[in-house]
Amino acid sequence: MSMESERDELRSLMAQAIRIELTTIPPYATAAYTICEVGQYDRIAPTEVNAEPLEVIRQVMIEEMLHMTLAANILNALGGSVILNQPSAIPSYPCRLLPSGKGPEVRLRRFSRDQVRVFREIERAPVNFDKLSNGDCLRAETIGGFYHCVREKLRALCRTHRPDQVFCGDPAWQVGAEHYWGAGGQAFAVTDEASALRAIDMIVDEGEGADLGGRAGDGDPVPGTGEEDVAHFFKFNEILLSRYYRADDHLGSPPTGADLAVDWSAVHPMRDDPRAEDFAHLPEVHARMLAFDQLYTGFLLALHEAFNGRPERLREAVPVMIKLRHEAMALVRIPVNDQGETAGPGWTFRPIYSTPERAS
Amino acid sequence: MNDAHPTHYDAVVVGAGISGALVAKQLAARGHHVLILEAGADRGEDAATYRSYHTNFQLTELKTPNSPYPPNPSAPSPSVLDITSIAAGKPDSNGYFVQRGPNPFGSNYTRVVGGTTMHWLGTCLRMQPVDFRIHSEFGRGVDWPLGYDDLAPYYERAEWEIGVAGDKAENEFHGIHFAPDYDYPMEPIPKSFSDRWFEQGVAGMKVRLNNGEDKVLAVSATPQGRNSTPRPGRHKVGGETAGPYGSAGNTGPFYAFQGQRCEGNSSCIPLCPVQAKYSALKTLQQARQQKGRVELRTQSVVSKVDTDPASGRVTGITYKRYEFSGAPVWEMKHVTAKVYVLATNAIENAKLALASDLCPSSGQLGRNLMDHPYVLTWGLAPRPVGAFRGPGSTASIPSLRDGRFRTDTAATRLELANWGWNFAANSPYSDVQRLVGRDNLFGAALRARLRDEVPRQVRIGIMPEQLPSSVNRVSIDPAWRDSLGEPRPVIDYSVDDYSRAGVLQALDVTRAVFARLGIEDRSVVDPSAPGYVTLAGRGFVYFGAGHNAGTHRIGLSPRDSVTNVDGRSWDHDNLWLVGCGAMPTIATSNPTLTMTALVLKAADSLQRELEGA
Repeated sequence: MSMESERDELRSLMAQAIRIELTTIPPYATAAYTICEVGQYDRIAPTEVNAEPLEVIRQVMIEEMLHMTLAANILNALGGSVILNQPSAIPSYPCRLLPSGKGPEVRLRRFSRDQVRVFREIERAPVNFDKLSNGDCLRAETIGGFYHCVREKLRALCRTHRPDQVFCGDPAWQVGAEHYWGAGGQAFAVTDEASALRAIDMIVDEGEGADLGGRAGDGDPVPGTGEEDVAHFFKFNEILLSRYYRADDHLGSPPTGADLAVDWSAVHPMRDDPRAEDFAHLPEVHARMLAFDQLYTGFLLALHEAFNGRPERLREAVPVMIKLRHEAMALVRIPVNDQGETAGPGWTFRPIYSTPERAS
Repeated sequence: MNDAHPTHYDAVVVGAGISGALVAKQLAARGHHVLILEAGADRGEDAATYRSYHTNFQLTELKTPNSPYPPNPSAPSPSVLDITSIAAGKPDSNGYFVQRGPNPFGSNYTRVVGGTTMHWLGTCLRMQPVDFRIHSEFGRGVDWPLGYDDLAPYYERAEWEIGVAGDKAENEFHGIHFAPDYDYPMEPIPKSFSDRWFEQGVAGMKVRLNNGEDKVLAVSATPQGRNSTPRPGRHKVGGETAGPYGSAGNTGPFYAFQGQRCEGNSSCIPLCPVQAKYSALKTLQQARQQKGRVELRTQSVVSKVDTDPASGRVTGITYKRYEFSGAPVWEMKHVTAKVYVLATNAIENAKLALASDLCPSSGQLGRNLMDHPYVLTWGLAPRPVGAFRGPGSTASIPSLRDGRFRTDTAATRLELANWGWNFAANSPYSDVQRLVGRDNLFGAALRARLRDEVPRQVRIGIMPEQLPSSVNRVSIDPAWRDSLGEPRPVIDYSVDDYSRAGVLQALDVTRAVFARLGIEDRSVVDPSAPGYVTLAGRGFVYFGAGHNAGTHRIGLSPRDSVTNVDGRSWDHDNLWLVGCGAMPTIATSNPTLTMTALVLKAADSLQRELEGA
């Protein structure tokens, strides 16, 4: 294959990577926002519950945002372009996690054991790497396998071609700490093989674990503490097992950290995979869900600009994320039927350029 | 009996607030073994505890700076809710303080891990060069034993320890200057809409003061200990090259203490939900990462600093470890070290030193207690200005921080507030009560009025300089003790005519600003309020600013100061006293940044002492 076609293949793989990272965020966010933080039990004062599982999911979610940003940096470094302004580039749910169609089906569901098990599957490490090396990355069965394959291809390309041929992107398009800071770790510019591999390794380590051999730690000290963080797979298992892992714990043996209290009942009963269209009979809910989609669409369009040469736009996207949270948390509190199920955020990309109709 | 803990250290530090954490961090970075003794409750450094503070605050109806923190009878904290008017000869002992007046001391502090940075706003202003020599310049107060330029490298280090977001150009006034190769670690927090509205409104506005002096008003963005965006590039910080300021990520159970970027939760006091605001918990975490060991012992109330009568040297520290808050049961413990550091707030440091009969030479220990008697003035702007958005305050009018008037009138800083009448009138909650109860509004009309009025609320806070005075003091009295048998601080306090004159001058200026901008004055002065005072027939109400300072001031001579310029006690060779108590004067800047600079200077001298340099 020519240099150009190999580089093109890597570009399209990194575009897939961005899509994979983006795919995980709405389901994680939705589960987190359906959690009741304060429950009213048989006591007069409300009681704080579920702050810990909420925090664990939130941590994973914001690391996915960092991963998406790093993946965009790699793609831009390869001279590709990030596309987040086309419906075809944006996942709609339910969907499959990986281009191969393997991996769990990803849905928008409330916080439940089943949903957290799905999350855990999303982050599961691959069993056998050798099958994947230099193979068809699109057939990878796990995220870790996918990145492993991409990593091998990138290294192969760098072995045979000059760095300036491979990394031909405009360095000004890179998103660094000055634009992305304090959420999930440090964003850094990708300009060469070393930084590209570092970005891939960070994505994989934080997801599946540093040695992929079943150790819980992600090899990454929590900034400012020196403590090693725990990979996503283990974080979700922590919730299922009601106990925190420590970095030296291993897959297959129980976690040895402190208690992690989970109240599976203190959850807003959001209807699965809510979509605005399903609520046309409730005009106010319908309008509110469309408004959420509009907000999400605007957010993705801002990200599109940020990853296409205007990294400073990320700053404006931050308040929109907070609005999305508020709106999602409001939606999951609106009952929509006699069973007490509630509305929820649909995370649907709707590039409408006129103001959506609003219920009066 | 065997004790699980070691009993000898390189340094014992009393207090796990910002001062103690910084001393521990610096000494531990050099490999020294440091013990921090903290009176506050166990597990104060856990993320789960931080969350519980947040829940406490959300669930409480009376929201004060200390409401997140569970009452702890074994290590009580003062509360702003305890303050009442004081009748002559009848001390007010409602709360933890025993207040002898004549005016109430309105400030508080927090005895928890992290100290009072657990409820501060984060304002990080430098003092003006002239503030270091107000006695020479104006015949008032005392001069500092060092000048602005001596402290400048420590200011730089302090700003980087706290992670200050600021803009040099906005703060270069009245002689404040920055080294050309230095900059704040983070880009400034933007001025709020309301700040900019004031800025445009007062542009070029000239006021004539009573002494005939003219001042042109201007608005300056406030440097603050709040995460924004790290400034790119390298800078010279206290002589060392540093930067860019590292990302403080937020994964794992410790995320909370490193914090995210300020996202405008408008909840800086007491707690930032995303920990964008600096708290000493961040430095404590960093201290524990250093190569030396830092041990934190909580629920450990220091009772006595023991000294050798012959040499004056400290021989150990006796503390009470309580297992259950409120139970009058404790275990006496004793530790020794090469050096000892009292690093609590100005009142607790003085109390403990007095209870241990320390530092007698100057007679100044416990005296010169200062605060900023804080006066609020508020009104309704002619247009919405976005009240209740952003950090509590992001700008001020510094024009009255200096002038020839300081010979007989206190300098003041005019703080522009972003949270409407929140501190002044408990808005927006009280607005609902007022409109329902007084104006009989409900439903759509009520909502419309709230929507119209609340975003138009503006407030200016007046912070006058208070001079050091020997009659404003902390003392102890065996008659007043807490549940562990430790002395309660007895406080004599008054606001003198100098500060009152400063407030009146500032009130005149704020009135002129209100008139110019078309702001309808809605300030209420309640003559029955505890903080009501008058001068020449004009009255106002002051509150505490939480800026307790001055009780163990640094100086050049054992005759008139408690410690040398490094915080080292004149009377006890191996004892340091650090914190806001070290400040000889308080000027018009919130004291934490200057205090931090002094702490870093003290830490350097502690390091030299331990290393025999």
